[in-house]
Amino acid sequence: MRWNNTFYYICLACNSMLLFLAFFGTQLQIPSWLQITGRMHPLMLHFPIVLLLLSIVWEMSTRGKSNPEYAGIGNALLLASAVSASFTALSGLFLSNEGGYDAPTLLLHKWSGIATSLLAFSWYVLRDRIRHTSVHTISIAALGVVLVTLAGHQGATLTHGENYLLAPVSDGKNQPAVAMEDALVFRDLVRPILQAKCMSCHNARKLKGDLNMETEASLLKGGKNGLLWDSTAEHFGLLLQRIHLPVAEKEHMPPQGKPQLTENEIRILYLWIKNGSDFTGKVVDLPENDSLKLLAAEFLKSQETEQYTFSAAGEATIRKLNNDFRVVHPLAVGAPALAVEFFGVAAFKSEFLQDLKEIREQMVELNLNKMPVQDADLKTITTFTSLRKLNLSATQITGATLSELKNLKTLRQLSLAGTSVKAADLEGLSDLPNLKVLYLWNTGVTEQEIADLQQRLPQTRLEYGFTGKDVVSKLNAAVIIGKDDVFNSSTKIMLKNFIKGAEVRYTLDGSVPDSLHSSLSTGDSISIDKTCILNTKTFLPGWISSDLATRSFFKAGITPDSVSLTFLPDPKYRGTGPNTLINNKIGDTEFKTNKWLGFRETNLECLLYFDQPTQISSVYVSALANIGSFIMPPAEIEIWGGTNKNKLVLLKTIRPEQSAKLAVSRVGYPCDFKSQKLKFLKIVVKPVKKLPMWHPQKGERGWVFVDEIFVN
Amino acid sequence: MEKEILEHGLHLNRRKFLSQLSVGLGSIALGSLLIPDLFSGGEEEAIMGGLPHFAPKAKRVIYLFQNGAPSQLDLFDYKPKLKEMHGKELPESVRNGQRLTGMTSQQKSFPLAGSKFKFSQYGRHDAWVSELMPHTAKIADDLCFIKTMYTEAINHDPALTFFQTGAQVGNRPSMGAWLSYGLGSENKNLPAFCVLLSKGKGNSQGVYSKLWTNGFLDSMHQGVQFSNGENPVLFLNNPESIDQADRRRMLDRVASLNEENFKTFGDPEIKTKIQQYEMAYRMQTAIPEVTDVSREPENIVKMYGPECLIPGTFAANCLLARKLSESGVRFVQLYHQGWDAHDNLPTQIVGQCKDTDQASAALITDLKQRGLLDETLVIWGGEFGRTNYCQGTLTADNYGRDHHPRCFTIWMAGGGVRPGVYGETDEFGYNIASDPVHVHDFHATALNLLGLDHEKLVYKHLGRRYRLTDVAGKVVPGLIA
Repeated sequence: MRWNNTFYYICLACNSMLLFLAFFGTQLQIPSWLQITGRMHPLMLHFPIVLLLLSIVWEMSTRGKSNPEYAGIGNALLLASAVSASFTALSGLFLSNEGGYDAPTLLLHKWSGIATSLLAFSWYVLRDRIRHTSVHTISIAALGVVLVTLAGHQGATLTHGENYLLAPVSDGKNQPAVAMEDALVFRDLVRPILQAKCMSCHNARKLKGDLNMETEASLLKGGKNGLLWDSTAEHFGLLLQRIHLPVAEKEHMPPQGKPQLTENEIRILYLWIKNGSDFTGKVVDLPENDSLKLLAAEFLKSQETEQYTFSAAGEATIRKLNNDFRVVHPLAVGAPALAVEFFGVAAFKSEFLQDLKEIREQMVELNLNKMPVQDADLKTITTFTSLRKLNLSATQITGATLSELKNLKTLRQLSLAGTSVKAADLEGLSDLPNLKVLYLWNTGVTEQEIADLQQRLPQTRLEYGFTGKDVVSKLNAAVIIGKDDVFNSSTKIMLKNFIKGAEVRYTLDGSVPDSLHSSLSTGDSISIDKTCILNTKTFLPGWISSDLATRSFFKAGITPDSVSLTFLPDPKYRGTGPNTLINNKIGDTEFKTNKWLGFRETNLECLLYFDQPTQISSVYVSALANIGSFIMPPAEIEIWGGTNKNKLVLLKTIRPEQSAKLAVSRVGYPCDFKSQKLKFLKIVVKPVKKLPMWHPQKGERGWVFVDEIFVN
Repeated sequence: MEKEILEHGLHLNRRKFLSQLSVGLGSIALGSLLIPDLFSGGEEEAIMGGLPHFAPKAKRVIYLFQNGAPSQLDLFDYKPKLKEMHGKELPESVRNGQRLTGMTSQQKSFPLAGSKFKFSQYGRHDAWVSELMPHTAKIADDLCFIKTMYTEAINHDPALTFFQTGAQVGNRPSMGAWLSYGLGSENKNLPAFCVLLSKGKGNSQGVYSKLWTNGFLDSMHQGVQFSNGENPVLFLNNPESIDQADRRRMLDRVASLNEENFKTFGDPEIKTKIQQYEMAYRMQTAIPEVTDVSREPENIVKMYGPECLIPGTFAANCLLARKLSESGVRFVQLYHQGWDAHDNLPTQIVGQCKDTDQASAALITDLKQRGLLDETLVIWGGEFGRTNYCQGTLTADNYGRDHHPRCFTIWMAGGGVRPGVYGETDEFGYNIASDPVHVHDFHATALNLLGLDHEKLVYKHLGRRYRLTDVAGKVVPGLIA
């Protein structure tokens, strides 16, 4: 009896824990010692199945008989079932946390397992009451059978895969994947599609539309509406016509509500029919880059999830091998396979590679990109015989010792990009049976050698990348570096060039630089001492010369003592007030900055005042054009001057040209007049009232934007 | 990693845990379940920052974010119907009363605007690509075009924040921060999450540091923004008259002070700080090594375009992204601004494409030729799409498009993505016809490619567990090879 009690309490504890974990256990991580318990689930599960079924049989056959001996055996059986069921369910819960199972099946299995455990336990607890009534015994026994069957079946599905039980009798729907090399276009690509989407109706028994798609002969025969394909008809005949009809149409196939063909399936049917609907052709015989072949590659792709059978490296070893410049980590939680990466060119030492011998069995990826790996280091690498992926890009190997790698029989990917290996060095690689991709960009292998190499490595995809050979690119213009757009006596600027060997030429007179006569920038600073426009272009043989880069420089003039505006600028573009016009700060082509004053409804009309009569002969209005944003050259600029504010005379009027070519650019308007002493200058800049006929928004009002006015 | 989550989240140590539970065999077993190192003892840190839940297809991400929302109708989603009906009214049956932005909801008419640009089909999946993207068209076989992305947000900032953090309102960790938290840094000498910015000439929208925030995660997971100047990472160089040896001594001394502090207060942020100082020290050599483009061969310059040598351009950032990624940076986030073409779309989009097309395609080719594409997930796309109707006045060859969250195209490449064309929009390019992909689904799928179960990558904060996908998101099997 004492044993009974002990087991009872263990069973109670296990079931409580089971419920707790089932509801709140999603955040748990299983420690490794408990994982062992989890992995014993497949062993343990046989006990509750047998014991519970035995209990069911026992309870059913002894029902109604009140023999204490029978009851004693029944009690023992029920308790054993309850204990083993709770252990099994708990271990299953631990195992499920390791992941990798199909979620919906797992969910069902988990809950049916838990239910089984609870059922067995409550049966034991309530055993006397249940035995009292025959109906109770029958119902709980039936429920027990259902739960055990359900949990058992779902568990088997998890381990052995979907449809494991019925596979021998179901008609081969889950054929094993066919290797690309053996696949036939019809048998392995076309027929599975017809089988999945058409044959449920068009078979020898149902014969919908008198069409049977099961055999080659019956396919060729067609149905009551005629042949399935016809190279002269629209969509190559009936089959594709029906598929292409809108789904809602009655004639559309497969009928609405049935599983429809995917785009790729339609393409496969289309391409196969277009190519002559051949029943015997092999996929591998199709030309390289043939659309059907590429599609086939996708369809026939076998599941490439790799299974690693080696044991995991110790956590302490992994920890020890990790440092700031060498990272060793499992591919995922719980995976034995390790990936190793190196970082930090300056810190690299060959010994760092040799240290990895400890994990040579587990290391499947090694990334040495950019590290100063030498030819001699390949001797070390070749001992890492589990490698699947090896990246030696931009290392210092010359290729002389590349044949060392022939021991890496499992190698799938090898990158040699950016190294100086030559075609001859790659001989040894033909010994690598699993090499799928080889990266050869920017190596000593020439384009001519690639075709030859491909013949010797037929299973390997060679990635040659971008050579830039026939590409003619356009240079970019030098960047003009200079602090001051407006200077007092002189300023220094630099032209910064980015492309090695390119010539930077410039002019200061507004003309476009050419590659022969214009000044050549040496890279030193250039001194500018007068208002000018700097134009620069860059030239290099084999390249298209750059666009023009341009920037205006202004020598500061006579600064007025004050400035006022008759009309306020648009509130959005009011700069830093009237002073914006004489603060020696130039705006760039971005008009939404406080360097610019913008006017649309009114003229820009400003009055410059000089305390002393000053000798003045010109005014320069610096403005902006941004045709797309309606910012146009001024319709007209008037310069008025005099010594009496109320008696100003018109000194100059100019009407700038309106041109779409200006696009987005800075513009400037020098207004020269007879030199004279002035105290007042009134400058009127008028926006265009109507955008010109060529403008997309012709007729709208234009804007003027002015950032500075220079007086000389 | 789950251990770290637990220790952070619960702030439990073993003794506390055991003393709070009634002692017994069951509770020891339970305790050992919750703290797996219970019996191995020691305060050692995990082998790595973290490990994927299952074997990953991709190890790293490069996200080329096209900020402002590129017009899918002018780039990838070919709709001849719009051309046919150019200028005609958008049928109400198509819009069906769906919400519009304040910028066009007051518009009296919604004239359909067909794309001005020519489309052709490329590659074995016959993907449509417009003439604006000739380089992208050439690599179409490597790309997975998702034509049926959709989002709930209708304005830039919430939409962008949604894409980056899984929530429209700020303060949640960014995708890169989640990855840094979940997978840790590959290269201990560089941050796990780097951010690079560039700007096109088109109408642009802001990007803010909240987009690469660590949110409630440890601050070491925050994105590090690179600058375009001489020093890509600011304040990394030693000040004048301080050499490496001085710096080392200083850091050692500071670390021992911090350790003292940690013993007193036990705040994990102190540990983080020590680690960050150490990483910065190692970055002093790692950053110049990784950002040096002067030794890139000429064909690389030609492939990305010569602009790639000018710091701050999208091309330069793509090249730098490759260099960072191959050096083990988990998540390189680029933002290219300027796609918000409410008006003058045909002009603006030409410039934007010129800035991005060649370099984006070059990045794919470059990763591929080095054998890195299969372990790097590259994503290209904006925060939503643009409308099929014109914003403002429609003319024969000029139009603008408003924000359209109901369907838009992004592409992904490499890292276990199945190349092809996924999903279909209706003939007006307004609604999704089949296979919708929500932003949460996109996040779930991206995490899956990286070996992470989006439902398990959680962090407990303010009393509940948070995920990048929050309480939604489904992995889209059709996107996975």
